[in-house]
Amino acid sequence: MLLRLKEIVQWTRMSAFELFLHLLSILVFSILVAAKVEGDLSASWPTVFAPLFICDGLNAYLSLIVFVRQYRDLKKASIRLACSLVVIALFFTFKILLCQKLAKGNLTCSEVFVPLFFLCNILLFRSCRVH
Amino acid sequence: MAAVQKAIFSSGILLVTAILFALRVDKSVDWNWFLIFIPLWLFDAVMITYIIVNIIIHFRTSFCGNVDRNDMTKNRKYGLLVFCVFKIAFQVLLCLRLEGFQISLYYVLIPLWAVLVAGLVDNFFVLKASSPYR
Repeated sequence: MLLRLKEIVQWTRMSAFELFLHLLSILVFSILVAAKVEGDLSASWPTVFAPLFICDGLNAYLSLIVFVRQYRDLKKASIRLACSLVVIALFFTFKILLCQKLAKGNLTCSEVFVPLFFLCNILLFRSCRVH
Repeated sequence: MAAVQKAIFSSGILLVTAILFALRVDKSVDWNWFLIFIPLWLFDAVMITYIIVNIIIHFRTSFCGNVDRNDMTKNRKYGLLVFCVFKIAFQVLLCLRLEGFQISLYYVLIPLWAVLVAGLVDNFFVLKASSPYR
């Protein structure tokens, strides 16, 4: 790809393991979506989105563990926790809104994409600090 | 390209794609889906050019241990080229499906699954080895 893993880790401030979890959840989710759309799966949309929510939960848990383990350097640990939690919260909101839109259809796509726009802007600012 | 330029370019492309996608789904614009994906085509073009230039540089220069200044081997660069081809195939199939062609979603997602599995395997080996990324 254009960016190497080392640069992606610097850019998104996510560890390689967090990226691994995201990739895995997207893979499982895409399989479930294909099965649901093609009519091979009769599960509800929240069930289809479950891998993505589990991934966010695991990432939040991982961030908390890293925070606890870095407690001696409280400032650095707090900054890392805040950075991670903001991204996880935005991802989670985006997924919840998308799930709501697909399940009930009472939201416009622009509303659903608002957390993603914020996330893109955050990434844009963070990219200025990549070495 | 420096890492900072690549990161800014990627974030910009992501932002513009998200905006165009939202506008098209909300029917604020009535453009063809291939036009909505223009930022992604641009990104792919830059990515492929970058990889091909890197492969040519690899052929013309003798690197110590067959690894260039970015810690990349020649085989890895070929792999990245294949990755790009799969990504483009996924985008083309997705555009065709969104334009109303009767293609099963399984067929549309097969290239994406290949890309994701490759990414997962690569990431797994990086995690397992704790060595520089190659």
